[in-house]
Amino acid sequence: MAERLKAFLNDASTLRAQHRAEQSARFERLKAMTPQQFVRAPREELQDLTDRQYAEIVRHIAPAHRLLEPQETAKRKRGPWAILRKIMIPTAVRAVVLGLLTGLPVLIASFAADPAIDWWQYRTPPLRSQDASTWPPCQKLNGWVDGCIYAPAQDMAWDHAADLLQIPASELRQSNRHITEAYIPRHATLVVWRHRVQLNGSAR
Amino acid sequence: MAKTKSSIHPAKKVAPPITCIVDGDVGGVGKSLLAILIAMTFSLVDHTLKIFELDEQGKLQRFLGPDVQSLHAARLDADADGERDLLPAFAPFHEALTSMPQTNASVLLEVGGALTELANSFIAEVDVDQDISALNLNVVVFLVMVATEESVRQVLNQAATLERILPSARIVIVCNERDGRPEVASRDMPEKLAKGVDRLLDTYSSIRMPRLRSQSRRLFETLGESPPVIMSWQHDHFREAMARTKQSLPYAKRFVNDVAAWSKEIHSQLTHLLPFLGGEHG
Repeated sequence: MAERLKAFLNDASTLRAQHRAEQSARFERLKAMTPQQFVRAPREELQDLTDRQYAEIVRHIAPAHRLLEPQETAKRKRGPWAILRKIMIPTAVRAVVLGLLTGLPVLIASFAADPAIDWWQYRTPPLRSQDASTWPPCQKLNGWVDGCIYAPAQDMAWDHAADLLQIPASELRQSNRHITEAYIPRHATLVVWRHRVQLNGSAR
Repeated sequence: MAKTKSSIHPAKKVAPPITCIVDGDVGGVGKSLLAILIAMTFSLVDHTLKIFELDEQGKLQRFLGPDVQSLHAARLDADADGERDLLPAFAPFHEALTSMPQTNASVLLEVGGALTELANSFIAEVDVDQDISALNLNVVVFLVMVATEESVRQVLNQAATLERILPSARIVIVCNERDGRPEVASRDMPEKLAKGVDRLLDTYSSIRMPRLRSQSRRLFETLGESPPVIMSWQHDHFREAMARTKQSLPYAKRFVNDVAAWSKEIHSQLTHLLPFLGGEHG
């Protein structure tokens, strides 16, 4: 065998033997420590210890101390369905499906929110004072609003307003006898009342 | 441990001289470190090795001295017609390769990061495979792979390319465990890459390159000394190691021990793969 190879192998085995001997001596030294000495041991003394070595030292130094047994990291195993899914469904398709599943509920909720709020308000008739001028403004005219007042920005036909509110024009006029014109003038106070709203101090 | 499962690449007993090509395309995967250890392994058994590096970094030259010949990529600049003449740049390597039977000197070529394409073009253009077959040369290509998708992809591509342009060469996959074990990490990569790694390791021989603690690796690269020299610093209770590393005794000792364990492991892997490097004369 070549001299250099022999020297290399000798050096490697000497170093390994020295290293092992030092590790073993350090291990024994640590095991001989009191718990107080061990917790003050410098970091360099401990950093090369494996989890098992560390646990063994602690068990030796403080037998009463309960230290969890180091666990081997479990290898992640894929089930057959996961493997099949990865093979069969391309990443792009999975991304699209995931996007739809996330986006669709948001889209549906955004469309459904307004009608749901209107319906909720409609099914619980509000309590109003007898003075209609104190009623809250209607945000818009539709088949759900009740117990509010509306001031059109433009002149408006009675029939059109009644259509929007889905009530007969005669009923609308009845509630708004203070408007004498043949149309609803702009900025007039249109009272929306479907005879469902409870009035304070009245059974009307 | 080196293994060979393939019927395509039987583990025939390789005798010197041989040509080793260290490749992997991606930069920073440990090609130079492997080349340094291959050079060390040859020098330990007094086998002559001509070393070439297709790399502008000059890492091998710094470690192994002025005998390392650089195949300067600067010579690959396109001429006035816009054509790149690869022959002048690769001529020293090609000459060393084809004259192996006469000189009995082995050859080592390290292909630097992102220069694989140039080396492939040269191999294809000159039909190096024909030279290998005609002259009955032994060529081993070490493809170094780390646990990243990019590296795995490049090694898969390069293995496929070599099958096409250099079918007479023996491919060896080097699993550099710097960032973890590539064969394990590949399980979390896209299916195509994971299957590709399995196929690579089933088809070709492979060796593992254990991780060298990052502080020790940085020190090793900075010092530019070969492992046997570093290991000799243990004498006189690591006095030389402390002087050279400018570290206190525990750190200097740890560095020497790390380099010794790391280089010994890779040496074992290489000698298992190429038994003549372990002192056997085949």
